Amino acid sequence: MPAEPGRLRGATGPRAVDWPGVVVVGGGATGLLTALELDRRGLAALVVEKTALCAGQTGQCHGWLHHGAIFTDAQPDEFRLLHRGARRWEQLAAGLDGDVAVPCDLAGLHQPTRAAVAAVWDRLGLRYESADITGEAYRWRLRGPEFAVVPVEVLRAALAASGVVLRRALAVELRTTGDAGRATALVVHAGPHAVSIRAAAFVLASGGIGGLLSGSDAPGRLTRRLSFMLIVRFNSVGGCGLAIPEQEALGLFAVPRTRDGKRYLLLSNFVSYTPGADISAARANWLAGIVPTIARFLPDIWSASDALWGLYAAVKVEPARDLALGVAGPAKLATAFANVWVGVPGKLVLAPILAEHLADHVAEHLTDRCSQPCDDPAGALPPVSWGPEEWQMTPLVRRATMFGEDADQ
Amino acid sequence: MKIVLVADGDLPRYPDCSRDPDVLTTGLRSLGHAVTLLRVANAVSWPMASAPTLQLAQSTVPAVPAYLPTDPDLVPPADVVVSLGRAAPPVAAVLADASGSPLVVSLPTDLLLPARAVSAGYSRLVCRHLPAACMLVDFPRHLHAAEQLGADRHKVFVVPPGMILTAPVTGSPQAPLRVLCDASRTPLPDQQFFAGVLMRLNTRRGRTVRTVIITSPSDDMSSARTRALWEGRNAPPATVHPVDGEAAAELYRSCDVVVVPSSDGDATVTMLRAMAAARAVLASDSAHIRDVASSVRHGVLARPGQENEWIDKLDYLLDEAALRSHLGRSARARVENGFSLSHTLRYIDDRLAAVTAAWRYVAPPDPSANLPRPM
Repeated sequence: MPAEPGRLRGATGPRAVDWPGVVVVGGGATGLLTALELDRRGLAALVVEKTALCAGQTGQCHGWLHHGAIFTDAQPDEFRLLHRGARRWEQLAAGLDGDVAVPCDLAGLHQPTRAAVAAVWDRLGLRYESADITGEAYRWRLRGPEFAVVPVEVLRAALAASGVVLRRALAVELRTTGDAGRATALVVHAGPHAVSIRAAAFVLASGGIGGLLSGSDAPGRLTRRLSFMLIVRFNSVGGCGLAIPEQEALGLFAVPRTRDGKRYLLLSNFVSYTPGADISAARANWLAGIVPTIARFLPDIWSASDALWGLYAAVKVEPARDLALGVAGPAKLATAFANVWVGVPGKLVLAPILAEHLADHVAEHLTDRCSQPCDDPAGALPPVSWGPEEWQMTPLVRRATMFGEDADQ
Repeated sequence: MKIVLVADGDLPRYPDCSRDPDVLTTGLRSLGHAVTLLRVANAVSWPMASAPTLQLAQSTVPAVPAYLPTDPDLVPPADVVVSLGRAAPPVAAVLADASGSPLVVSLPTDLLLPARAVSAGYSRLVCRHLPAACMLVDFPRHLHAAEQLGADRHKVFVVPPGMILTAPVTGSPQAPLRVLCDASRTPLPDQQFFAGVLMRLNTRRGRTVRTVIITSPSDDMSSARTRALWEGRNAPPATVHPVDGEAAAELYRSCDVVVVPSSDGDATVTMLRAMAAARAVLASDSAHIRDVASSVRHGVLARPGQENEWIDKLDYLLDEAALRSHLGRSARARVENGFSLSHTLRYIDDRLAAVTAAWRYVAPPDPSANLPRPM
């Protein structure tokens, strides 16, 4: 059994600070949006993040906010849920620089796919434009309400105008005294120092919650998927937001990003693996699936001579569900503690919905608990930085190196 | 607490890492413990590969009593005896038993590698049959290896190595950029591979990299080979520095990229040293490196032997100042949170306190009790 950092023996024990509101563990989209919702309700929110804000799953995603048109097994109420989440993101991104939110099109080869996509937007009463294409890699293209955001930029702007306190610390243990059904403090490590943050309620919005909730069934109701993201940087050709529905060659997402005047495209698909899989084999299998799709639907990008390519693996935590694809409602899980909630959205677009639910629950719980004296944690916990997103830290190589096309160049 | 550390005499020197017995001794003393460091079996390493060396090793065991009560620095019984290194466990076990103290064995990484057939019997002996109160391993995968060798899983604890941290330097990028390779911890074949990468980066991409090579000032044979490689006629442009300690640390802090082409156990400490210096690292994608760093977040990993991949990634890393800065900061944060000496000392202190608190030693009967009472 490994030594548990949260159970260190110390001569004096961790330094204690009081926080008059809610402590949110996890500085990803769910944690930050929950903190924003709490702030809107007049509750003091402290976010603790172990590395950097939006650097985990949020920093690994491509940011496409699906309205549901590409999920074959979604139900009408799920379409409405997705649409509501996307609208909330749209409000948060309103007024920000154009690069933060980019429109995305859907395209494909087969008419039944187009009809299925259009049917969803018709049902939601959304406007879209349709075009038949000739001489291109795909035969139809729909321009509708779909768009992608850069979560770190949207949330940074939203948090700047709030009273939410953001700090860097590693959460290691929830403590309880007396009443075993309630957590009284969260022990965190900030560098070599241990700090015990006493608060009235706690929200766990991080993928790695298992250690904090040993004995609870909440971690068991989550599942993990291993997937990959390809990055391509290019100059000579254009790139735009595009999705090929999964009925057509495993699907394909292409979401543009820009940095320092250079253009990037994040490429992914629907294929994922169990996290315990041999990552080298999974990587090779995933590349074998996505490469023909890229070569077929994005031939300019594939053949661009100046392009550089990169790849990273991403493990996604989401609510357990029966189907591999499609939409499940965001998970708001009860724990063994009456004042601790777990939230996992599963999809970025659902994070605002989950945040509202979590904040409602916490606000109900904290009706008359906000008048305690407050210790500013600034002295005990260091500030935390934002990002960068995973693709910005991924080294890029030539296509021949990435795909093993040449042995000696 | 009175602690006796029994360490191999030929353990590698790491002046900034808890793997060095001197660093550990000083650290535990700073926590208020009385620590005695004993070095045994100098120049002998178990397990033995041949009969002559086996005889040599056996000859050290009779010398164990020399460390026992006659040593004025040892006031038996010690509260706990800790073994460090491959040869130390049997000696530490005898000492612990003779003084009635619990034994804590820090299992060396190279004892736990399943590929080392020579060590399998010895590893099983230590893991399964040595009556240790507690065993310490560096990383979780070593814990699983120890279990497979028969160790009691309830007695094995992960205590990661810890680095002495000094303030990182965040100076402006230099031109031309400087790449560092610590050859004192890098086998010659890996150095040759890296030299080939630099040569091709120069000839195919037209990029000349200023390379800094560190060699050990004391290891003449290894240093001579390193010099022959890096100062030869066909070598890439490089300057060789035979330094260690603070001078080597200063070179780490002043470079732009640290390259760790080695895939052996020493690479872990080299990687941690570069991460502690907040440098961007290009390292071999091996288990020893992945113990302390994940690709993308804490450094760039490239598959061993894949020359094109190393060339492309080094080229990209040298182009991207922002990426180097992000990697350096993330790496430093990783070391501060998980691999600082203060963390490691607290883990060890915690384990030793638990072991001594739970220790119930039944003393052998006193022979003098059977003597006839004086009338």
